[in-house]
Amino acid sequence: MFKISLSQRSAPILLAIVFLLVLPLVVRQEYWIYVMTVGFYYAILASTWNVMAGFLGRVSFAHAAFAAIGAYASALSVLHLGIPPVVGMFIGMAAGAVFSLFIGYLSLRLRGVYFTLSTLAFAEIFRIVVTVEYEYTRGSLGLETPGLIGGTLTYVPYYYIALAILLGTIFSIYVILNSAFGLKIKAVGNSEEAAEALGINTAKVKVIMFMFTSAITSFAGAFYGHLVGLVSPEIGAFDQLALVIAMTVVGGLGTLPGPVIGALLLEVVSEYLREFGIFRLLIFAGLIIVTLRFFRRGIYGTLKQVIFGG
Amino acid sequence: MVVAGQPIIENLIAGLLMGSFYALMAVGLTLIFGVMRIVNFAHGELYMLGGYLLYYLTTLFGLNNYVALPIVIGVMFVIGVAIERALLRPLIVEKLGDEYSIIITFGLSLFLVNFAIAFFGPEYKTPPPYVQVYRVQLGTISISGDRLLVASIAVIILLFAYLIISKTRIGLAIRAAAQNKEGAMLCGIDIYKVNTFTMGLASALAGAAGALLSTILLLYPQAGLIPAIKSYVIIALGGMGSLIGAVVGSVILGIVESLGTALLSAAYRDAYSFLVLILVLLLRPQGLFGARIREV
Repeated sequence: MFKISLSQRSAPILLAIVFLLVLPLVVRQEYWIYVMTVGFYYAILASTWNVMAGFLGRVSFAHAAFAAIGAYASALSVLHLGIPPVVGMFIGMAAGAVFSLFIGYLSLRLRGVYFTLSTLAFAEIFRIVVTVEYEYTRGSLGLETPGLIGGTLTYVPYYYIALAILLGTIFSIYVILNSAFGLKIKAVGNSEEAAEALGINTAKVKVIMFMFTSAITSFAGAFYGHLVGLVSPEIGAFDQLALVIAMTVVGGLGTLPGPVIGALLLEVVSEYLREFGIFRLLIFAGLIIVTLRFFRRGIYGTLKQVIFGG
Repeated sequence: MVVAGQPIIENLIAGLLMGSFYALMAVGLTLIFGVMRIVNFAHGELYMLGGYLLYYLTTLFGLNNYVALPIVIGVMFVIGVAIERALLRPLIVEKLGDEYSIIITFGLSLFLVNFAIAFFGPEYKTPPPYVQVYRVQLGTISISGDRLLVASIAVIILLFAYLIISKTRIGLAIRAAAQNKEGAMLCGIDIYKVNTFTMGLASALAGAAGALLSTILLLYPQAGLIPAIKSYVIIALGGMGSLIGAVVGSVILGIVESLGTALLSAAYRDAYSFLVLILVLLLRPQGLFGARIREV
């Protein structure tokens, strides 16, 4: 067990965790429990995207595509192999790791924007393949997939599973960032030239982190598929990617709590914006631009600066 | 589609024609990269805006296509200037990293797409064609007449852009800045002005591509995505920042696509570019005409 001291630093985090743990007991509306569960899903995606973009300075446009890869791999293996969805989620995770190793190996050895271009092209190809290979994927209609837990009528179990995955994700990111390997990550993020000069294999650091974040994303995507019961190309759509980017940027790029704050906030806000329909993404796009242009540290970073200074 | 007769030659020509549109996009993109060292992820949306501008100028104001096209190019130039001034200026002032330029142009792209959905409508639109003749016979080969004409206009616009870059003072400044930014500044070149002009020129070219190609293809808010992805592949293939590379890469990609469509599968037409990108990254990461990039 970890010795937790109630220092200034960990108190707010513990409070937040306790708050999220008791929330379903207080808020008994299924609708809001579902919204929060989806919010956790986005928080996982935003946190992992932020590792590449915020800490390593590498922007992936295939993040939603990796969620979809996990969802499809899990749904297809559950459908054809008859395995339980829980095992399917791990197959989804493995699929994400394999594809990310391939893209990462191709494009992360190179400096500059090649990685981003490759992920963009890959995401688009993935969408085309899913739509064209109708026989296996049922195209844009989507695959129906069983729920994670049979016979449950409430979203409360899903809520806690999603929360557990989210906490596990953030905890492992925290551990990695504060390890010796985390120092390498920070070095690469600050200056690749300098890191290389220190003898760090920067390509290896980037590929490992890309695999790690993509595998978690695929795992979360598989979970999401079993949550909504339908796996369609929508999961990997650019709109979803846009949402994840908006959440991360608004919450605070390159900070650990930022993406979680951004994801939960924007998910709840977007429920209220539902009636505005088409203006929702327009507003989020505006938020990305304004935040990045004028409040580069996002909500978390800006608040921290205002409260603690510096 | 392979039809009896001269299928391969017909496909080659179709590929060449597509290549000339891709070049309008890719030349602007590679110029931006050469001067500012960034990839503009809103490039496809400049294409889309060009298409809608032409659509509304011709349908709402009843202008002739040939009158509307120069207006589109002018307005798109101004839009490009505005984008540089409002969003990309901090890049040089504050020396920000790649992730800023990528995310801010992505945000702009998202904004413009959803702006178009909200205010122009999500449905397909078709601006009036530039010419009504639909097939041109060259011996036994039959080519789509409007494609041929529109591609010729694209080539003329490209030549204009080439003249600006090679013969004018601002063109000289652009080339100097692309070669060595610090050196250019030491020679008294106003790097801000060069950036602004480059963005305007690139935006005008992408807008022209949209105003031309949208009369042949369909126009809708996300219409820019596929041409944009292709032009990203093209500049990687030709070598980032290389003008000649952008033109040659466009022609190669156009031909690869139309031959792939004819010989392999039409459903995967838009996927061939990804294969090209993989090959480039594996075999020649610096591209055909690019300066050697450093591997890390």
